Amino acid sequence: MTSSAPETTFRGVVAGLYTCAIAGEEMAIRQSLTLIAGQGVEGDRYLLGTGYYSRRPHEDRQITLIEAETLESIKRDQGIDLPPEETRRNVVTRGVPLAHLVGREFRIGNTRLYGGRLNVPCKYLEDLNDRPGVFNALVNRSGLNARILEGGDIHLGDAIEALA
Amino acid sequence: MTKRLLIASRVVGLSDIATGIRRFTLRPERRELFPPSVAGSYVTVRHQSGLLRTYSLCGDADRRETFEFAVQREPDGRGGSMLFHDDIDIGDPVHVSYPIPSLVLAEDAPEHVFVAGGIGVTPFLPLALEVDRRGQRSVLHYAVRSRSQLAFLEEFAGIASLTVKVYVSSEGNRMRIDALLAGLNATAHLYACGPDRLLSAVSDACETMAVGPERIHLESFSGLDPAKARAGDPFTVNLRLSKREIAVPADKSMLQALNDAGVGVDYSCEGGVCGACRVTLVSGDVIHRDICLTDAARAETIITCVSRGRGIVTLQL
Repeated sequence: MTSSAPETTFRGVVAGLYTCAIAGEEMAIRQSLTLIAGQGVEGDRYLLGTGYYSRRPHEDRQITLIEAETLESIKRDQGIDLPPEETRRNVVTRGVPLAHLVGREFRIGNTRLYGGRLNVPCKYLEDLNDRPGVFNALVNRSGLNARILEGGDIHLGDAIEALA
Repeated sequence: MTKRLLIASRVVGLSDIATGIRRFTLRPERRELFPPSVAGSYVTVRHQSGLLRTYSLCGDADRRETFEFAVQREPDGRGGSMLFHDDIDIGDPVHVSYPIPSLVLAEDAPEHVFVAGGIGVTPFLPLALEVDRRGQRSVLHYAVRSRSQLAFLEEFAGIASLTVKVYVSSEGNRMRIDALLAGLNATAHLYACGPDRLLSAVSDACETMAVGPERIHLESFSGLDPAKARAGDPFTVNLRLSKREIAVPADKSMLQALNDAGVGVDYSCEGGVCGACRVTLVSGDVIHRDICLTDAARAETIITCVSRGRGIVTLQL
């Protein structure tokens, strides 16, 4: 048997885009984002150094993603209706198995990213949104923290695909 | 609990409504309306510099297009009031929290008696408007040092169900809490907001005159004196999750020591009032100095801006 190439058959899309300028601010709903390679999302707190975790900077926190399917699942199974902007992630994806992108490069529109590590939920999020149960609901499916390798503009509906 | 998110807003109105008192009007930037609030709520306002302060909302709680609050200039305060007076213009961005209920009206009282000292008058305009909507009555006893410090009198005069009694100490007319309580209707509820001296006087008088605690509602807007709030004997904080030990010196608050060490604890009033800097307590000999936690909450929580400890205090951080 020969080893096969990594699975790249999915093709997802950008379902939501969000930024905020300072820690704790309500996320602004955006139609497009400008990604800056090696830095972050234009206008977002983790590029500006004003985020809750900015004191502990990490190259994989340049942009964050979460699956729309996770939000649908926690609503269906646990009755927690978490609006996408309250996840505080920059990109809500549809049709993308984010866990499969850890350690791999992928594209959103014309940009190129690297899946750094799985995001872990925090009590901070639960507290900010006053939504008890969100922390436990997001364990093991809190999204992906990623690095921006090639910047550019991304838009709602842009395709997301893994690079071989 | 309330959402702790900050709402991007802009200053759309500024007016000096009495000597040293400036009224601010905010509009939300990215939403049409602010979240609903009940009369007697306060908000945390974040100045562009990053400084956070809490202020009672002084506008009608039913008007969600704007939030209004008033700030008294206090040259000897912790610096927040000076920044809000001297370094904010119309059009400037500020962030504001979701409204947090504080001095909330009793549901079924036919009469509500308000006691205000100085800038402590701010929550009583929305409260009096709400009482009026309910078809109940209110009386405001409003004490100031000089007549020029009186605010909101015109608005109060427009509320038919409200009677206002003004006490100006520089004119020899002091508010007497005992006399005020002596005339208190047996079903009336009492609400007081002002400096600690006034609140202590109200508490003491209510105890002496056997006014039940269920009928008394107090709000301190100042919290502990800033110098007292920060000082105390040195002690050590043990952070259980991050496995660190941080020394709190005699001249710093636990909050300052934690944030100086890069821990990043949220905060607002720095006077033990608002509860924004609360942290889960694991163990230790704690000296609680806040004025916002119940005894039950104190068993598992500590307010880091004012409270301290002896020896080692372990926190869930």
